[in-house]
Amino acid sequence: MNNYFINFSNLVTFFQNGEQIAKSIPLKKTDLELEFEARLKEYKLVIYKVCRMYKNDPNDIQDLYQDIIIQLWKSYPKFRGEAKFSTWLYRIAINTALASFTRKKRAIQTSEVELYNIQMPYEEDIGLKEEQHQQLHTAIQQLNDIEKSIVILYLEDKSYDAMEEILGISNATLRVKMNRIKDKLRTLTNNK
Amino acid sequence: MELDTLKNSWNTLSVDVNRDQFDIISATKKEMKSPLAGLKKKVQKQIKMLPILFAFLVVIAVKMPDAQHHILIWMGLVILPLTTLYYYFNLKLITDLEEMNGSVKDDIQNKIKKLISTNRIYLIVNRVVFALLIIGIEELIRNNRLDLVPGLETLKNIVFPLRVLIYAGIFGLHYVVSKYTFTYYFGKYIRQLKNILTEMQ
Repeated sequence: MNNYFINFSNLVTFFQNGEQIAKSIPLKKTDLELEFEARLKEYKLVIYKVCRMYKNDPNDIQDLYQDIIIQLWKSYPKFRGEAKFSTWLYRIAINTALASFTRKKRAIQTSEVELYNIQMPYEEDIGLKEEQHQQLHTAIQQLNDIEKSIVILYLEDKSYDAMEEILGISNATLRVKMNRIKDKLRTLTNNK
Repeated sequence: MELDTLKNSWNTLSVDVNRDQFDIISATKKEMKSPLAGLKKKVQKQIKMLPILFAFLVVIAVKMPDAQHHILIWMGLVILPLTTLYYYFNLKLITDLEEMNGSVKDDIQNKIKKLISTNRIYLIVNRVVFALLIIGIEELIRNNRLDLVPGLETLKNIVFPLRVLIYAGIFGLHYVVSKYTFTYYFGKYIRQLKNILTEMQ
C-alpha cells in the first residue's frame, strides 16, 4: 500500500532532475527561428545603435536591446513583407524604444546568467570614443525622443520618404524638424 | 561638429556580430522590461488572486449559514466575478497594446484610440449593470420579495427620494473609482503616448 503514496521529496527531486535534463538538451530550432536569426544577424548593430541613441546607462541599453529583440521576435510571425524588412525592423525598434519610458530603479538582480543569451556589441566597436563624437553624442542625448528617432534614421542614411514610412511623420514636417535639430545640435555643441 | 560629419563615420562602423551566440529560444523565454510587460505581470497576479477570494467567500457561505444572510458576502460574490472580468479585459487590452502595427505614429494613435474606447466601453457596461441592478432591487421592493436578498428590508425602510440619492451616490462613486482605476493602470502610459504624439506634430 505504501508504494501508492507519493513521496513529496522524491517528487521534488524528480522535477528538479527533469528541469536539469531539459536544460541540457539543445532544443531544435524551428525554420521560423532559423530564418529570423539569419535575418536579424545583419541588423544587430542597427538595433544597438537605436538603443545607444535612447539610453545612456549600459544596463538600460542592455534591457532595451533585449526588449527590441523579443518584440521583433513576437511580431515576426505577422511580418508579411508588406514593408521592407528593414522598415519593419526600424518601426518596431523605435516604437519599443519610445515605449520604454518608465523604468523602475534598476533592481540589482540582473545577473550575467540572465543576460547570457542576448549580448550586445561592445561600445568600443562603434568608435564613438573620439572627443568630438562624444560631444555631439552628448548633445543628441538632450534631444527629445522623436528628434532622436529622426537623428538615428538620418545617420542611418535613410531618405525622407523612408523616414516617413517608418515614423509616419510627413516628409515636409520631417525636413522642418531636421533643420531644427541641426540648429539645436550646432547651438548645443558650440556652447560646450 | 556637424551631424553630417558624424553620419560619415556612423556608417563606416562595424562590429563583430558573431562574437555572441544569440539564442532565440532562450530569448523568447525572457521577460520584457517594458512598462506594459510590468503592467501585465501585475494584472496577471491580481487575476489569480480573485478566484481564490471568491472560493474563500463560497466556503464561508457554505460552512457558516449565518454568513449567508450577510450582505457583504453577497456583495463579494457579485463584485468579485465582475472584477475578474475587468482584469481579464485589462489583460487582453495590454496584450493588444503590446502588438505593433504600421508606422510609429499610426501605432501610437491606434493605441491611444484603443485605450480611450476600451475605457468608454467599460464605463458604459458598468453603468448598464448598475442600472439593471438598481431596477432589479426596486422591482423586488415593489413586489415585496425582501427575503431574496439580505439587507433589502433596510433599503425598503428608506424613503424613495433618499434611495434615489443613494443610487446617484453609487453612480458618482463608481465614476470616481473607474477614473482612478483607469489612471492607476494606464494613466502614465496614455499620457506618455500623447506626449510622443505631440512631439511628432
